[in-house]
Parts: sequence; C-alpha cells; structure tokens
Amino acid sequence: MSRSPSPASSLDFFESDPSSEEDFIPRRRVRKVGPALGGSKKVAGGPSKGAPKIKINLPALQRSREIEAAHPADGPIEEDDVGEGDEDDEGYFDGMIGKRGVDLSNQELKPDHALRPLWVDDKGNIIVEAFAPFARQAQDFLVAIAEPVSRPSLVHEYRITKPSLHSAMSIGLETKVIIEVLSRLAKTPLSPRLTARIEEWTASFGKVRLVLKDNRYFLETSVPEFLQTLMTDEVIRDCRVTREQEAGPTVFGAEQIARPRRDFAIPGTEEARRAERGEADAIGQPNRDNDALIGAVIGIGEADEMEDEDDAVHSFEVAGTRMEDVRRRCKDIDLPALEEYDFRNDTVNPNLDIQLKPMTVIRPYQEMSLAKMFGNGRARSGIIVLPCGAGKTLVGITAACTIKKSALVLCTSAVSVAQWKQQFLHFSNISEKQICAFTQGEKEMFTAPSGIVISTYSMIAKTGKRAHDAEKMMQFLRSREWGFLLLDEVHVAPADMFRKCINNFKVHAKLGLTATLVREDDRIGDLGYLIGPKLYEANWMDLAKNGHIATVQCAEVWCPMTPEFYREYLRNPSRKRILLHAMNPNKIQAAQFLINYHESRGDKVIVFSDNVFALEAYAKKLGKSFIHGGTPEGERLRILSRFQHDPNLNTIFLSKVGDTSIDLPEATCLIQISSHFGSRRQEAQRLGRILRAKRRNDEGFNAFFYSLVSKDTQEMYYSSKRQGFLIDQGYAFKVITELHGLDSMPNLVFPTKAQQISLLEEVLNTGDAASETADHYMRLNHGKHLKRPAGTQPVLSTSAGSLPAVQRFTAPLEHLSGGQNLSYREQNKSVNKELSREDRQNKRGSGGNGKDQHSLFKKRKAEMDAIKKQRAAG
Amino acid sequence: MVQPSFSHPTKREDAGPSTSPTAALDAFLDNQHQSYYEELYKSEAVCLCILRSLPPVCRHIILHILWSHQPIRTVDVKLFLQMDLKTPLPELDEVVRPALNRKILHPMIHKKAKMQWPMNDTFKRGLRNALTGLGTSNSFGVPFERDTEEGIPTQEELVAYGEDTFEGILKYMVSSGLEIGFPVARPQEEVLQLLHASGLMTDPSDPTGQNPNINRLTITSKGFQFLLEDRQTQLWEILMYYLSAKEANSERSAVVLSMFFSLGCMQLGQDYSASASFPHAQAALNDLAQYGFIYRSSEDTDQFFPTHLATALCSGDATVTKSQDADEKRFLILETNYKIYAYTSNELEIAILNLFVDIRIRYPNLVVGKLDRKNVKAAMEKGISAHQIISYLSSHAHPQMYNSPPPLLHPTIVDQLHLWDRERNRLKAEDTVMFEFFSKELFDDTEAEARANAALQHSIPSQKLLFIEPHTKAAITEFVKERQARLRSGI
Amino acid sequence: MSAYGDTYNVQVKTGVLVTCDSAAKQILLHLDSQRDGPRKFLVRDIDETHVMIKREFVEEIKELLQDELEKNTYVQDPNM
Repeated sequence: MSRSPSPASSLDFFESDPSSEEDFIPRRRVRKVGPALGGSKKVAGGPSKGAPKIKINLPALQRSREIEAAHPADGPIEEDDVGEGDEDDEGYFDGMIGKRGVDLSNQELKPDHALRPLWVDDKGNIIVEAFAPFARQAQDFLVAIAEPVSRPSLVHEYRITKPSLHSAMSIGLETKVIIEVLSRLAKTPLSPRLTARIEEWTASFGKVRLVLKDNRYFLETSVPEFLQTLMTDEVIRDCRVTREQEAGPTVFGAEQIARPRRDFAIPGTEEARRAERGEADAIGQPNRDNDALIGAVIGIGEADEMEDEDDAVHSFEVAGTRMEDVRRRCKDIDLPALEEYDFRNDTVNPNLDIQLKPMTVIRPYQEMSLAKMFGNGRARSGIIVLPCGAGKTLVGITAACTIKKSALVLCTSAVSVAQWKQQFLHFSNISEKQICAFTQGEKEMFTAPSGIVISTYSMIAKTGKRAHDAEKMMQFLRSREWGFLLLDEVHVAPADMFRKCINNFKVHAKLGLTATLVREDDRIGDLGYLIGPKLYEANWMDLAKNGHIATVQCAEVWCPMTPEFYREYLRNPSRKRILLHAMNPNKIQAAQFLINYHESRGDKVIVFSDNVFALEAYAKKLGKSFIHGGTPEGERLRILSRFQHDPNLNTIFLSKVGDTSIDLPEATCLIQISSHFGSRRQEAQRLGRILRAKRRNDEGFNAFFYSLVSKDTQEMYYSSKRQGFLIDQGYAFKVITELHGLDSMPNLVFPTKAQQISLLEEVLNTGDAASETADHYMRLNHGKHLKRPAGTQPVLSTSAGSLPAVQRFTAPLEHLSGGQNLSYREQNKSVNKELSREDRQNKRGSGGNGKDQHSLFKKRKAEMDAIKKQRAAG
Repeated sequence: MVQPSFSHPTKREDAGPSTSPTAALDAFLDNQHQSYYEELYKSEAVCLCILRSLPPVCRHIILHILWSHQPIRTVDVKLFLQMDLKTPLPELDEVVRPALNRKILHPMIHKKAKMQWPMNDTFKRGLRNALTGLGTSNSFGVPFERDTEEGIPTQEELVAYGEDTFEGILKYMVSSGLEIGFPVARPQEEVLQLLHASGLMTDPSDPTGQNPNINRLTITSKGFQFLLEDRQTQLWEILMYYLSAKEANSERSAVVLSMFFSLGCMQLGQDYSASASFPHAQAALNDLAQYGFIYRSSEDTDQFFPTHLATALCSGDATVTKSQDADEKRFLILETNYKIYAYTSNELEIAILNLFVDIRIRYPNLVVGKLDRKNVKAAMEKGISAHQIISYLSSHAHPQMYNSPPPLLHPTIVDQLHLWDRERNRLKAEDTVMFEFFSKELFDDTEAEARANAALQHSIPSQKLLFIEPHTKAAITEFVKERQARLRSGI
Repeated sequence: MSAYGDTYNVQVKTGVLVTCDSAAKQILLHLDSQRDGPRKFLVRDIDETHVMIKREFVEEIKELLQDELEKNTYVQDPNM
C-alpha cells in the first residue's frame, strides 16, 4: 500500500472548514522526544570514556558506574535545552497548575529516561521513583547530598539545600561528582541554574577543617586560595600560632601533609570481623560482592585514584584558646571549618581500653552512619539521625569504641544516664570502674588515666552555686581533654545550654544523636555550627520493612466534645480551653476503651499527656500508675520496672518526661491524650517509644499509636500539624470517628450527664496553671526547676506514696456537691501508693525478680537517698 | 471484645455503586416497547450486539435454541443449568430476565402442560442471519469501493483523530470550569447544543435554560461528573443524549440506534460507504463525525472511516479501547502523604486532575500535586462526590500501586475524602413553622395529623413543640382551629 | 376568658429549622450569645441537635459556622 500524501495533513480539514473559523481545531500533539545525543557533547568525566580521572569518593558512585553502564548514551549535561521543546506549549498550562505550580513540561526527556530514577527541578527539588531500576543507589546518593522531604512507599522527594550540600561536602563528596551523578540519574538534563547553584553553594563548603592534633589546633585546607584567605583574614591571622621548629615542606608557610584515608575497621562490622580473621587488605576495601553498601558510601577503594594535586593538604596552627573565635569567623567568611579528630595519631591523650564485645553486631544502617563519621580515618563531628528504637545508643558506643579515648556522654535525664551506663557495660568490655555517672545522686570520678563519664545537660550547664562535690566533679571534667563528646537527643536542649556544654570542655570529636531534625526547631543551624553537619539520616519505612523497628498502626480518634464541655470551650479563653478539650468526658471514655481493649489483647500501654492535670485525673480515674516530673526518682523507677515485669501492670501514664530516653521495649501501644501544640518532633519522638517493641519481629505484629483528639477544637488543628513529619516518613493516620463497642463497655467512666457536669465544674474550678501543657516539674527547663505558683505546688518531699496532686484537688472539690466525687477520690487511692507497698513486700520476700536490674536499682536508691539528704539539707 | 475500628466494621463500597459503561444505553432500552425492538431487530448488527451484552447464561441459552423451531422450555433450562427440578418459576424467570427485558424472549406461556418462553422471531431471524452472513440489511456496513489507495489513514491516525476530537470536547468542557481557562478550540454548534440540552453545560446567564447563548456555556456539576467517567461510559452517555435529542424532535430513533450498533460492528481501518450502509441515517452519521466517531476526508464524499470510538462501542469488554489501553490509563500514584504523581502529559487528564488536585509541578512525563483539602472541597462544591474522586483515582492507579497489598488506595485517604465530604454539610436548614402547644391533648392530635399528612419535620413532645412543612401551614392551622373549637366546647 | 390563659392556645412562629450535630449547635448558640438586639438570630433552642433561627440570617450563619470550624483545620505549609 502506498500512501503518498501525508495522512496527517488530510486530517486537517477542519482548519479549512469555512463554517467555523476558530472552532475546534484538533491538534495532534506528538511530544518530540529528543534524539539520542549521546556523545555529541562531552559528558563531564565518566571513567569509561577515558576522560580525566574523576575522584570517586562518595556514596553510590560505584553504583553510578553500574548506572552508567546501563546508560551508555548519556544526554548532554552542559547544554541548555530549555525552550527547545514544543514551543506551542508555552503558557498552555498557565491556568492549570495552580498559582504556585511550576511548568517544566518543556524539558527534554532523555531517550532512556525510564531507566533513570530522578526528576530534578532548578531549585533542587528532587523526585525519586523508588521502584525504578537504580532507585536504591540513587537514594544512597541522595541521602548524602539532599534533605529527605518525604519518603513514603513509591515516590520519594528530596531537596538540595545549602546545609545538605554542606553535609555532603563534609563527608568528602565533591561538587563535580555531585553534579555528575545527579545529572546521570536524572530523566532530564540538569538545569544550568541548578548546576550553578550547586557550584556556588559548594564552592567554599567543607574545604576547611579544624583539626585538634597532638593537642594543637590546625586549620587545614586542600585549596590554596582558601588557605590564602584564611591566613590573611584579620581575625584568624591573630589566632594563628607560629612555631620555630616547623618542619616539612610548606606552601605559603603552611604545613603540607598527605591526605588522610581510613585504614582501620569500624568495630562490630563485617569488615572488622574479616580483618580479625586475618583476611589481608580487608580494611578499607569495600566488599563488593557481599555488601557493597559501606564501600559505596565511603568509596575508600577509590581513594588511591585521587589526583595528585588533591593529595596536598595545607594547614597552619591556631591557638586553642581562640577556638570559638576561629569557628565563628570561619563561618562568617563562608568558610565553615569542619572539625575532625585524628585520634589514632593522638599520642598525648591516653588510650581507653574499650571495644565492643565479640557478640555485639551492628546493623547495616548503623554501620553506614558510622562509616560517614569515620570516612577518612578521622572522627568527623556531626549529627546522626536515626529513628527512636533504631539503636542510636549502639552507634554512640561503637563510635566510642572506635576512637578509644576518654569520652563524655551527655543525655537528657538521670534515667537515661543509667540506661547509657548499662548499655555501655552491656555492649562493650569497658570495666565498671572506668565508667562513671555524674548526676544529682552520683558523682564518681574514674581514677584510671582514661575513662567515660555520663551526665545530663542540666548537670553540666547548671549555673549558680553547686554543691561542693558537684563543683569538684566539674573541675575534674573541665581540666581534662576529651577525645569524644557524645550528645544524646540533641534536639531537646536549647542552644545556649548546648553551647555551654560544648564550650566548657576540650573536646576533639563531637557526635550528636537524634531521631528528628525537624525544621520547626530552627535549631538546625545552631546545631550545625555547634556540633557539625548531619552525617546520616535513616529512612523509617526501610527500617520498619527490615524489622529493625516495629511497624506501627497510627490512628487519630475523634472524640466529639460533650455539649456542656463544648459550650464552655467556646466561652473560655484559650488558656482554659486546653484543659477543657483534654478533659472531654468522651475522650476519657475513649482512653478507657482503648486501654481496656489493648490490655486485653496483651499489649503494654503507655498513655501520654503533656497536661499534668489531665494526666493525673485520667490515671486516677482509670486506676493506673502515672509518672511526671514530680514523681520521685525511686517511685519512677519502681513503676517503670513494674511496667516491664509485672503482668498486672500494663498501663502507665507519662508526662513529657517520657518523651525521650525512657527505654521501654515492652510497650506496644501508645495513646496520646494531650500534647504540646503542633510539635512534629514530639509526635515522632513519642512514636519512637513503641518502635523498639520487643515483639516487633513476631509474625504480623503491629504496634499501635493513637492520638485522641476532641473534635471541633484546636486539638484538630494541632493534631494534623503534628503528624506532618511522620506522614512524610510514610506513616498514615487513620481517622477513627467511632469506637465500636464503647457504649456497651462495662464500668464506663462518666456515664451520666450529671457526672460529666460535675467533672466540668471541677475542671472550671481548677487554677490556670493546670492548663499548661508543659510538665512544670520537668528538669530540663534551662536546667532549673520551675517554681510553680504557690498553693498548687505539690508536696514532693514526703514519702513516695503520698499523692502530690491530692492537695490540688481539694480546693476545687470543696465547692462541688454530689457523691460522685467521693467515690472519685476513693477510687483514686493511688495505684502508685499501692505499688510502692507491694514493692516493699516483694523486696522483703525474695531477692527481687529481674537480676540484671538489680545493681542498677541499688545505685538508683543511693541516688535517691542523696537527693533526699540534699533536700533535707537545703 | 469488640475490635476498635482499624478493620472496617462496616464494609464500604469504595467506588460507590458500580456502573456498567453501557448504563445509559441499558436505561434507554429498558424503557422501550416491543414495537421499538421489532424495528431494532431488523438489523443483524443490533441482534449480535444485544446478544453480546447479555450475561453468559442467557447468551448460552439463546444460542442453544437458536436453530430449534421450539420455544425454550423451562424444563430444558433447568436441565441445562443443572437446577433443581422443583425450582419455582419466578426464579427461572430471573435467569432469563435480561433476555426478557430486551424482548428477545416473550413472557412465559403455558403450552401443552409445559411452561416455555417463545423467542422473538425478528430477533431469531436477525441473529441467524448475523451468524450465517445471510442478511440483506447491510447492517454490518458496506465497504466503500474506492479507486485509489491515496489518502487512506492508518489505524493509528484514525485513533489519534478520534481521540483528539472527543478529547477536544471534554477539554472545552473542563476549561469552561476553570477560573483561568486555557485556550481550547470550541466544538461545533450542534455539539454545544447537545452539551446544553443534556445538562452537561449551562449558560449561567440564562436561568430558564430556554435561550442559552451557546458560546457562553459553562460546565455543570453533572458535567464534572461526566468528565470523571471512563471513556466508554462517556461515549454511550453522549450517544444516548443524542438519541434523546432526536426523539425530542420526534424523529425515529430506532434507525439511529441501529446505526450505533452497526458502527460498533465495523472494522477499524476499513472504509465504508455511507449511503449504502445507512441509507436512512445520513444526517446522524454526519453528526457523529463531530464527536470523532467517524472520519471523513471531506464532507461530500460517501466514504467514511469509523474510528476506534465507534468500533469499540460493542466490544463487550468495555474496559479495553484501542487508544487507552490498560497501561496508559493507569498513570496515577497516590501516596499516603496525599501526594499524587501522575505519569501523563495529556492535557485533558491534567485538567481533570486539576479539578481536585493542587498541581505543584509539571515535568514532561509527570505531574506532581497534592490531594489537599482545599482543592477537594472546591471540587465537591462543583458537585463532584468523594465516591467519584475515589473511583477516578482507583481506576487510574499506576501498576506499581498494585504491588502493595490491597486495598489499592490507602484506606486513610479514602476515609479522609469521605470526611471532607461530610464536613461540608454539617448544618441542614429548612423553612419551618413552629407550633407551640400548651395542651398535651391538642399537641398529640395535631402531631398525629401532621404525621399522617407527611407534614411533620420535627416534634418535641416534652416541650409540646411541632415543626411542620411551611406549605402545610394552612391545613394544619385549619385542623388546630377545629380541634380547639371542639376541645373548648367539650369543657 | 382571656385568650392568654387558655390552655388550648397555640403559638405559631415561622422561621428556619436547623438540624446539625451538637458541636455545631453549640457554636450557633455561642454566636447568638455574642449578639444583641436585632442581630440576634435565635428563635428557639430546641434540643441538642436542633435550633430554630430567623430566616434572614441563614446564609450568614452558615458562613460564620464554616469560619469557626475552619479555624481548627491545619493547612500544611505549601513548601513542605
């Protein structure tokens, strides 16, 4: 069949239809797919093309070779193709993609775009097909150079930001490589604007290092121009130290040394075990066939391929006393100094005999995060972000075991001090006399030349007068030089507290650990400056998929306000509203229902309330134990231990004190009844409480996370806001509008209108202070106890059993009539109290259950006694 | 213990009542009389298409006895279906109900102590001819005798033509509903008139609907719903609107409907002679060209090519049409964070998404947006329901979405859409007349009266309050007065 | 006999019967309580889910209710 005239043209008869001038012109839009331009223009680098050898020293660059093999015809990357697409598309969609919408539809797709996983816009927003052939590798790479924005199941988003590039540079990636890999992974050619932006942002980042070596501080750089800048800068010039005996070749009067590389193994890794077995040159060589992960991340195997010019690192010494000035100045002139610790060449500080126990194995992602920290053979300062329950502690301990110098560990509470200490003893071979705690109750000093001290931020940052022994301890801490400062839950403490903790000590390497670096904090900048860049951030869904953390069913339970409560809610100022929606009888019923349900199926339940009034009221009404900042240490530990071991105690109520650091792997269900406004971090933190559930690897196991929300109140607003972070991690919050079976539940609390109204009166008669969502008792309030208003301050110094809150209740109760309140108080007869009684009996009876806890408890008790003594004295 | 509702306590139909793509046609046919069918069944193509549209059981029964001279005996059907011989007759009727509805079988009669269904002779003849090719009605179309091979479009070109033409109409519709429209060509006047007559578009400045300015139409909520339907449903709806318009002009529609079926039996890529194939429906055939069902190289030629829109009409398996094969249609990824990633560059699809998605960025082969509350609620204001959005999203779900365990769409998102829907109308306001009584007796009597006359809106016995429909006010007042008088006189 | 004391008397009022959930109703009552004089719209507080209001306020009230409810809706930062 021959068809000479183009059929397409014959289809255009409408155009010549005289009856309808501008009417209906069907257009055939055939998107022109650009011809394969491979090789037409030189792709930057690319080993296979015999281009100048590029330095491969980054995550996934090996992968990029695989990728390259799959895409032999790479599109030109330097070419500006914008505007070459369908011209008639211009403006076609102006009205269709929203006011904020961006139309990049005229970008040219690479011919083999289906194999490439990324779309990249010119602002650095990246979309990843998580199911694409090279998505895995692409994500290894992206997590190093960009901020993860959302990582649900199929399509992920990242964003390249200045700090993220900073992080990338700090682990040794270079601009050229970033751009090249990015353009290789992208479906469309990179926009020149983005390339320019990356170049601009990375031009100075990560090029200058601040190294504490042989007790001397050096500024190092491999870029001569920056060295010039630094040495001529007026502030830094002043801080410079010159010594007569300077040896070795110098450039601009600066010392020139070989570029470092890692030639030791991180303990606990497969690599380390191979090395131990005597397998030659195992160290530093990525294990390609087995687990190329770590090798791909560090790319140490390629270190040898580095070009000569980069082998030269120039440095000069700066005065240790002027460190703060140097750091700040470097940041101000846009040459922020990365801090690295060449710990193996540190001969001044004695080594600490610490290693992981042979049975301790670290997980791939922990290994990956540590690999970033020790990538070049030194310890980089920075932050590692892992979800709660993903084993941050072990990462910290392994880091300490790698550095093998005296270490200072700071965490948020005395409870976590104890936990850290126990974990150190559990995972490593450190002897008990070399690890000490510095808390209110314990002030030990190690006597060996090196050791580990664990303390809290508030102990260290405390201002004002200290007790004599505390002051002595501080002097001990200040006088020493520390190889390693480990900062737990870095997002918790305010920046000024951090500054104090960090600047107080001579520290070589700093590692911050956290579950969430959520943007609302506005502290990321501070943290980056005070500690270092983010080194690693794990993907929650991946960890859950691999069984490292529990899978969680999240739900938001909508509890309608009772008309009476809602009426008052509408009439009252917002301060009072908090208490009204927290104490909504429908919500209390929902909490009761969920607790019953989950206890009956064998779950251990934690109920969180930021509002202490609600916390106590719920706990007492429902007959459960509770812990808040005012709960004495001993009682606190007793309740926690009962929760862990006693099959009859399956639910505890926690205030904010439980947000972090309380490690309760038994917990499998979490119910949130009141929360602190819209903190996405807190939401993530709380979810973390059940991520390490012991039963997580049971077939089909699910942990449960409920947020009880009073409908049509501001709680709805905050609740959606709080979920933002987790939703972007791939969690889905199911809305439950009705709890089936609630009405038929026996012993339902507040079943009658009259009881609900009397509860309302009680709530309305409570002092304003009760409406706060903060736990007033919390230690971590700038290191001080907040003074509660007189009259509502519960009496704390009495024995553990006495109920702090009863006093607060009595005043309003007097105004109320009705018998319900009597029974209310009756029922309240403190579970806490009973617990402590039982506990005492247990102690008398047997040697106690849980042997491993025993020594811990002795210490706790001592600590408690000390507190009491202190209180009695003060 | 009762389960908290992580698992659905009540199973929910996510996509709403499932509708067949030929629902519009079925509704039309269900309302026709015997005589209409007699006329339809003169066409072999119709007989074949109707047969195809029947459920398999009916199809088998009919084919089973097609060549027999006997009516279908109920006893045969029982045996055929291996049913209990005692099965009551109404149940048997249900088995062949579709055939009865299409007047293929006459109602059951009693003959020689046997119950049986006689078969419609016209249909029987038509179907026999269709199967043997002996028909003379040319209802399968008469190929055009051409003297040249020039200008013959390929199948691909026909598909593209049909697609562009029909999508052009849809695009015109959707653009009329956007705040900032995008340039689209206006369909021909007849098309616009049909869109208006069918209620898919309306002239807002013409409240009566009598004198619309055909050039200033905007889409209605019915039109929005239409956009979200799948293609096959849309085509049959349009055809039925067309047919109704013909009937409104008191034209005989059976001929036109026959033509639809004939087109549905034609071959894509083959050219046919208009005058020989449809001697009595030339005008209708021309009209169909405006929707892209057929292609003609010029207006005065007798030659025409059916496009895929026409040839797929009676394919039976409605989900597969030439242009939108399964993969192309499955282009949406919806994540649990409400982000939508649509693998498409099709302006119409993007415009439809834009109805309820906040589109953030568009790449050559991908559109990224968010299913956010504001946009979804705006769509709902336009008359699009949560069900429709959900069914659109699931019918276009990307193959990757099928890799995770069902349900296809995350229940959280489905729930949220329903919640947004529910959120819109928390308040029902209706005009009312309140009667406040002081006498319990009078209240009770009036309440009973109002209830009996369906005039009652709400009643509060404790406060002796009645709320009644305003239009019944006079009647109720009358009643009250009468009762008052009687009660007072009773004292 | 004065008509006022007649037990068979009936009061008749016209207006708009609003049926809603209890929270929405509380909002309506609250809105009304903040008004005085001719701007009051409430005719009768009927029960937990019903009120009767003056017809001329219906549209205004619907909007005010939406506004009030909208306050509890979090709209995500578009840049997130």
